[in-house]
Amino acid sequence: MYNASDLRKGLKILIDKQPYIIIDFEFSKPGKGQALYRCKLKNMINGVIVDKTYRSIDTFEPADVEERKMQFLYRQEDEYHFMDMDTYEEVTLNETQVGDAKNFLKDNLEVDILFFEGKAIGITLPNFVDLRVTKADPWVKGDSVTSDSKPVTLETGYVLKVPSFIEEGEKITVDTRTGEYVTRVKE
Amino acid sequence: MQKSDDPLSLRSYLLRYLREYLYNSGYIEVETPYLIPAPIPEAHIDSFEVEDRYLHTSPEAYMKLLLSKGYERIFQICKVFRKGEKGRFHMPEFTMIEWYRAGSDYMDLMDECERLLIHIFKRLVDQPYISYRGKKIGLNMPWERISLETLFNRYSELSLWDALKKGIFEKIMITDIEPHLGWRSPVFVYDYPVELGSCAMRSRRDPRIVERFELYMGSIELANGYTECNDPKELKDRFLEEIKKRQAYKKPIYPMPEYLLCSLKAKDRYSGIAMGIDRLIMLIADKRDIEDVIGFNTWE
Repeated sequence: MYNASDLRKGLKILIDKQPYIIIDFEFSKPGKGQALYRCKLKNMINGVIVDKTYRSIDTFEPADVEERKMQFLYRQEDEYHFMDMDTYEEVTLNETQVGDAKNFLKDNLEVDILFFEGKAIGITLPNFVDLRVTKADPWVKGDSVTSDSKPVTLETGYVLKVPSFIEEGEKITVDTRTGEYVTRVKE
Repeated sequence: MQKSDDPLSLRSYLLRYLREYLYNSGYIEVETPYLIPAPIPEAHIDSFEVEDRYLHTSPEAYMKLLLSKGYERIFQICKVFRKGEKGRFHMPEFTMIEWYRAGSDYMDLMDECERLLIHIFKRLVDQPYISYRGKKIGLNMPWERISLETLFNRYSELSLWDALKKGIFEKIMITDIEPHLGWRSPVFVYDYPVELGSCAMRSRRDPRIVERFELYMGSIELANGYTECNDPKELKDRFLEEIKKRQAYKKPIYPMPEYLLCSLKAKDRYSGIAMGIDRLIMLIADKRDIEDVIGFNTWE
């Protein structure tokens, strides 16, 4: 059980049986009155952000959540399979739980899987992932004058804009938070 | 240009100019015990217990004892300790200046506070304003004075009294009122309900009110002062009220500060004010967080 004085950025608590993480926190105590704890909280399952104000008498249940490093194995229809490389335990996430991360999931990629009360519920990718370009229009010298970027398709099926000198078969680094091209990978 | 962009050097200059002003105004600097047998009962201020003593949450009690012994103008700059208060404007250990003046009331103290701060700002900043969070807080005197009741009528749908009854005084203060306070010039908010000023003297105009004020600059609560209530009987009743509230909130109960009550004389007239030094430095140095103006944060 947490007290209001335990509230701080990063703390994970239960609200209506759902896990929330405190993403912003402000302590106020106006004019000899009682302390108020203003929190911005993010629902760890659906990402919805809410504002709440608590008082010093409020108490909170800790959310039983943990992150574990796992490897992406394969996708079967809308099920994504991951494995803990130490225990060989396998878990699956559905398409909704994986969300936009599916654009960057390649075989053997190491990711953080979020568990809530023992069940896998979400995924956090590394900020940068290297992916191979599987389809790209060839680069014609002099082209860069008219267009300095072009769309390409990655091994995951994800389409993004890259500088026009990137060729099919090359590897590029993508920022998984923005979905944007970062750099060409020298092999 | 400020004296220094380094908050610790700024603190040193600030303390020097505070002392300069008060020494020149006939004040003497005093020291009182940090470890005391009983703090002043306050519903929402918690003390650290150390063996059978408490770390003072303000030097108030023993400074009043000095006044009752006949000292007329005293000030103290010291660390004070408040359990559980940690935020952008709060540290469990922080620096306070507190001063008392015999024969004065809260209005006199507002005047003096204004002159003292002008004295400091003149030495520390070159312009006639303080730049804080991208805004310019003008310093031209006189600074605005407005009653708490007027503020509620201006910014809130509820009156001050209804907000208190509904238990949402604090919420309205922080969301609807404080954001407006002290941006054009510093502002004194005065006349607080008696339940929010247990050591302050009851107003001669309205018995629901005590002669208490707060100074705000850039939405920051910078100082708190009042005409002191020196009637031991009335004070004891108010302390019992505070203790009752602590019981209701299931907070630790501290002993009654009898050492203070037994030496007060009801006819004595004086007023006192406490100001947060760290917050004052935040304003002058334009810092967002109190931890940016202290040497070490041991509460991470």
